Amino acid sequence: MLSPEIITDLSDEEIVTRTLHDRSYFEVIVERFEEKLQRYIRRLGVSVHEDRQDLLQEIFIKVYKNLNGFDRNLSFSSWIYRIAHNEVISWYRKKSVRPEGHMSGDIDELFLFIPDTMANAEQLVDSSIDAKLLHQALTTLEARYRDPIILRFFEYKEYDEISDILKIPIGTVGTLISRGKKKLESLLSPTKLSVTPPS
Amino acid sequence: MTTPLIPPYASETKPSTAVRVLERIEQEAITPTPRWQFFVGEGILWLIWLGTVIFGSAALSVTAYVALSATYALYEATHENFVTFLIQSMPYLWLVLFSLMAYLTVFEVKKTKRGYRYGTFVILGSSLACTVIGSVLFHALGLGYVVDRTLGQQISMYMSMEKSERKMWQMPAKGRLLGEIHTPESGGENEVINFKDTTGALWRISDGEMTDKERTLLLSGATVRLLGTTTSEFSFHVCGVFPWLQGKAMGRRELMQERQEFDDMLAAHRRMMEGNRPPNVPVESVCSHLEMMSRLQAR
Repeated sequence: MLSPEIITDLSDEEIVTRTLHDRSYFEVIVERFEEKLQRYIRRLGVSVHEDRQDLLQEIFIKVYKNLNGFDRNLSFSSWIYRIAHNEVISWYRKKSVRPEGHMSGDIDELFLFIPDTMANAEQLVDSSIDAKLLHQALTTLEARYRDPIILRFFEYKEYDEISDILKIPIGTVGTLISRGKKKLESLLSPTKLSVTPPS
Repeated sequence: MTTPLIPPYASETKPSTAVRVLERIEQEAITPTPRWQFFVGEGILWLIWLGTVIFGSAALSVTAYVALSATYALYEATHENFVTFLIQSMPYLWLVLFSLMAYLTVFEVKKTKRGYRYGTFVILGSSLACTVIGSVLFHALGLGYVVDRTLGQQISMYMSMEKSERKMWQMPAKGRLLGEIHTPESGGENEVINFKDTTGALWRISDGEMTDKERTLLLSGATVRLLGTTTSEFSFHVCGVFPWLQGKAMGRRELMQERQEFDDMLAAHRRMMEGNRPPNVPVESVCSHLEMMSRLQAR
């Protein structure tokens, strides 16, 4: 195994190649993506910590099993997010439950998502109730709109990455985000909040 | 196995995710799925896509064959108007199969590794383009005809073009007969022609209003289509004789030729009605009173 310093400089794709010859390198993949995926599946509505831990383990096992199926035309990050997304959907199906939503730790992102005018931003900072409302609206939103919005505004993914993660055309990503924002605005209309992308 | 990059957190009560994942991989002897399995999976999807395109091409070539072989030349004689002819002639089964194949091509491509990147209309358009090219090739090779005829022969419930045309032309009550001359017999001044239809029934033919060309065709012994009317039981007054073209794939040229021959026949009959009547044609024409002949003359 290479020294940690050298490993740090290796790309995800290079780590994958090495893992196929020496599985101990898989630890690097787990370490690199554990936190990100943990956050992502929490944003997808898996609120119980133990559930997230179990899911995370299943995701990494699936990633390991499918390493040879990794499409080198994609970024490894998009590919692993796709597996995570699919695993969460399967998990919901198995459990026959709806996403509960757990974005209370994302207040900053929620604010970034909203500010249109200073007045609104100030109101929001002053009142966590508005953030709660947005959080509720997001969890109420249909999954087809919520998923690209979460990836775009909370995971900071580009449209092509979202397309690869959700397996939908890039054009559809833009449409869903745009419609999702409108739906959110309509859900939030009593609070008169408007939705703008992060700068 | 080499030493793990990140040592197990022995001091912690709960091992890290990485440790737990690697332990499970080791305990359950999990290995990455071989690369060839992914290739095979992807290959199968593309093979299914190819199969649907080929089947769709075959369906379209049969559709083209049926559409082109329908007796367009004589539609005024068999139908009220062109719309009813079109509705009855449409090969619905093949159109449904073709649509199903088009749907499946989109479905299959979407499931491939990169299929999701393309919009439904892009996939549908490119798959349809492949299908149309394939169908043109199949049509040129006469596959549409072969498929339609073979299915008609092998499956009793399948209504092939030939079966459909036979059914349509074997309708004496509507003035249509299909068959061939049985035996011309001597009947005094005029020769009597017996005609055997496809059900085996024998008809006595009145040939007073046939043109020479039609008489020659009828007497040749070939299977022919007769237009006319029943005058009494098993007596048929002939107003037109046409060759039976089913049993072979027809091209555009043959279809045009058939239509031209039909126009020539109409012109000859019109001339006869207008006084240029041969001596054996009765003064009171039977054919001129037939509704279908009125439709034909109005063309």
